[in-house]
Amino acid sequence: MMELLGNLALGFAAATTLEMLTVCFVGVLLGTFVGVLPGIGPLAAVAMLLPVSFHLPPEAALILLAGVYYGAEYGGSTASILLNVPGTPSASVTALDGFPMAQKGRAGVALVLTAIASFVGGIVGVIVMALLSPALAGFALQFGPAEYFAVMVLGLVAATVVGGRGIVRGLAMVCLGLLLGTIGVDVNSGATRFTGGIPDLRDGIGLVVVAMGLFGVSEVIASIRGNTLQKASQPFNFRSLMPKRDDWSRVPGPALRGSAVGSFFGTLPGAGQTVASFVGYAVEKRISRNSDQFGHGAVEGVVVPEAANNAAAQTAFIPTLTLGIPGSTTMALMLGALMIHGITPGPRLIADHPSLFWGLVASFVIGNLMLLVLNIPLVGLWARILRVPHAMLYPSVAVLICLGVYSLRLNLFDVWLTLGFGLLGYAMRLWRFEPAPLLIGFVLGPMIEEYFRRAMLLSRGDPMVFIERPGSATLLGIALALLVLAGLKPRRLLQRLLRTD
Amino acid sequence: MDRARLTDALGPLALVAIGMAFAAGSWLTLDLGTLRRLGPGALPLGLGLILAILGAVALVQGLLQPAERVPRPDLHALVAVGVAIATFSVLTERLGLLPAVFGTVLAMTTVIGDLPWLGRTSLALGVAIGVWAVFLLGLRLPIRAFGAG
Repeated sequence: MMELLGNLALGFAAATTLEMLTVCFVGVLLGTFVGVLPGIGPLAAVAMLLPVSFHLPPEAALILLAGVYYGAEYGGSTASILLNVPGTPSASVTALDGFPMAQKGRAGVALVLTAIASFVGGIVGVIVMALLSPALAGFALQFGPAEYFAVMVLGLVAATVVGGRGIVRGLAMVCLGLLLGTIGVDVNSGATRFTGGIPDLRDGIGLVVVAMGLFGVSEVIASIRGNTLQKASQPFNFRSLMPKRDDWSRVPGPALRGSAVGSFFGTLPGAGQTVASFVGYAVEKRISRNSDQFGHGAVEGVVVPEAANNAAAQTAFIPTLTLGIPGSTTMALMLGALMIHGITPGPRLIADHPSLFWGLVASFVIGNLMLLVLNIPLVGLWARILRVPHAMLYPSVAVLICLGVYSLRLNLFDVWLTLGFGLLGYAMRLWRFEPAPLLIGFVLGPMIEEYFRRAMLLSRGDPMVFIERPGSATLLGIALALLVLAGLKPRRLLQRLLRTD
Repeated sequence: MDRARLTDALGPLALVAIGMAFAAGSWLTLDLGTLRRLGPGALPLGLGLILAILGAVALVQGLLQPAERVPRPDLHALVAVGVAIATFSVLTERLGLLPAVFGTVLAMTTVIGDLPWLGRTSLALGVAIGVWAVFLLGLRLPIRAFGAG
């Protein structure tokens, strides 16, 4: 306990310098902004900020990217409630009850309550992270190369299972990502692999190039014209911002239950915020006394999913920072940002870089407070952003993508390569292949290969090592079980859970 | 076999081809090493083969239970974004960053309906000025604003 307090003191000392506070504020502000706007999600925003983060010290870089990420969870509910168009995927559940509330003229109440629920979820998530991470990291310190390999396989399998396009297609994308990650000079042998004699490829394909192409460029192509966002027909009514007493009494229980569900699902790689908010909503609907009001503007229906997805957004950092397995694409980008700063994610991270880890934890607390302050008085302002003509944004986004990629190495080859990945991403969209497993495979590829080769070396070439060691056998067993479970169509199970009546 | 199904099969087929290409490349040009000391070609060989197999399975799956069809691509948007990024690349090298930004925005506006040419040019000019202020003046990126690099 004393140790935890000491660590938190260290974290707050690191996170309350003027630079860190500024970075945190910019992060959560940008995050709220992209969260409010449907079409540009936290993923694209984090990808576009990656180049900027390379010019910052690693602590500031992580605080900035993380701020965008959880800030977007706050903003995501705004469009859900006002327009019935989720600003982020995980906010789609909030629309189920948020939009009916808005139609009854209670949009202001819904927005205020979601901000409070988000805050509760965020803080609970941070507490879970601070308590659980050191223990998990301590446990993982006993891992050898075989276990590391198994953990990463588990992470990759989890990433494919959640995709929803089928396991075969997901696994194929992971393999493609792993293969793209082998391009360039092999660190072990010095051999050049698959560069086709192009010198610009010797250092490998940049993470920013892949991320911007797959998620930025292809997103712009796909949505620049299809985005016929209906502007809100009637002016939003903010007469009654203050929730009534009856509303207040319906907040604490659902908020805490949502936070608990969210904290749990956030730690599972591949599950993430969307699953967390769906399950939280389904559970609450089952146990609530007001379950008949769900779907018609029940207060619980906006509180639970928002508490759940914000708690999940925080606890998603646990596997990412303690084991080095990213639970989602955005987490993969954060890992990539750390690796570019020369920090190896894994169980040694907390011990080796205490101010980075605890500073991040402290910045989450500060950032959540900032978001609460930003969101409640400024509800009207965020709602007005939705009325900006949407298509005007895309030209600027295209420029930011080009400039971001080019500024890293001042290499125009990277810009062409980004265009190539953009076309690949668009083709993948058309043929129903998920880009997320590809990116996670690409990020983890070099580490997986390293651990695989080291494990084989230690076992003197005996591949049975992965099954004989209990640790790696268990982890690989879980991965296999996940694959089998995924064959049973988890989406359908989840939908059945939601259709409780 | 109808045309829609043929189009649908192109995706998985491309995966088979890519997998085979990586496998063949590792086999022919890279050292595979031994089981104990794996060479640089070992992992790509295995992954390439797995990718090819997964692609084949996806192909069969698609043939057995045809899912949704591949939608028609939005060629107009595709070309506009492609030209916009290519413009950035070509003009940054030849004329400098700001003309490149101007050209990129102009190319992008061709897919946005009902905007008069004055609106398009002023948007392009506005973004170029913004880029100059934020990235060149503010962040001091070492990129030439005008002129060949």
